Amino acid sequence: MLDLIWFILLFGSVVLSLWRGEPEAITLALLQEAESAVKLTLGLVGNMAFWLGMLSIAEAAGIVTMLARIMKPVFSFLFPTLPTQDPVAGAILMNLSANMLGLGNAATPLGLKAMQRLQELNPDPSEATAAMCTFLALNTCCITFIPTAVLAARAAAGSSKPAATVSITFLSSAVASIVAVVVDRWCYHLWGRR
Amino acid sequence: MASYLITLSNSAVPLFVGLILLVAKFRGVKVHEVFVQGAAEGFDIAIKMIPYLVAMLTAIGAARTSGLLELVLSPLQGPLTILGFPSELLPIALMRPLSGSASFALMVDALQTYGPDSLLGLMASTLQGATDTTFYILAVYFGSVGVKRFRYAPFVGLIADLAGITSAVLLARLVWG
Repeated sequence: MLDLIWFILLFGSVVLSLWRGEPEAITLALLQEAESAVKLTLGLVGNMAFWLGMLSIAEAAGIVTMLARIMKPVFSFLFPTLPTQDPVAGAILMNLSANMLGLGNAATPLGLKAMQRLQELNPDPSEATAAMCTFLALNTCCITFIPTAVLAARAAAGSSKPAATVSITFLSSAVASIVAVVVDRWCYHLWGRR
Repeated sequence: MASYLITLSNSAVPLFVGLILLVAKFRGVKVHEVFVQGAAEGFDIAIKMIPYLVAMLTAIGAARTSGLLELVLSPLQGPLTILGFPSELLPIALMRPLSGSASFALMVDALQTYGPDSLLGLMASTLQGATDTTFYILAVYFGSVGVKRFRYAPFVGLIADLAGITSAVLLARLVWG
């Protein structure tokens, strides 16, 4: 499916821009986007190293295990296919906590670390497991307590009450997360438990 | 209120780091040694996601520049406007799952055009904050471990985006409308 979408997006764009007589714009867009993807990743390397280092310390100190023990009921409800004693539980919970606190820079490295462990537990490495789908669903709409970047942009635009949207943002993201969990569970029952 | 929240979110990182270090020291962990071991993995994980990110960003960038994205998304405009979705905010809502930086730029634009404290400005801010860039997360997370078949994950992500965007607009109307 991804294969077809990707083909349509790229091929369609190329054809459309040639037909409209704007080949320079798309040439520039392709090269710039490719470059920005690499810049984005390289910018992330330092962040990744730092947060994975902190995660190791938290693991060694038993903080991650403690978090996993406290959150065990929630975790086994959300991820019925995963062992609760596994280090993956800690990594997932650390990622979700970082997301909720608005620590986007910490959330990605912790999330990728969790994905690595989820992949080790995956019997078919080319296909997503049910636990991966749940994990990503939670990540795409994670409950947001503080939308830091939006707050800053509102303040910069001269708002007299930049934080006015915080509570509504929290509620909307909570609704999105609940819907994500429900739809994810429904798909899981519909398309097999792997 | 706003300055309090900004201070709180600015203090989240040092508090988080400080707490981890304190507990680790207390439990006798060799903090520096353990940190370096963990940090060594960072580079590999980051490098593995480059091809997936290049593939996704170029396709979305090309579709935006060529006008294909507009063409594909335009059939959604009619029904959404009839359902009470403000047509001024449609571009932000439709761009949100695809590109975080593009929808953020559109939001800043809306804040300047309509005013940050107008209903449209408040709605735009809520929209942007309440959901995340679904396709970026899918590409990076699955890409970093080499998963090729995403199964139902994109579907769930988009339904959740729709729920988040709808409730953002409805709640904003309820509170500020």
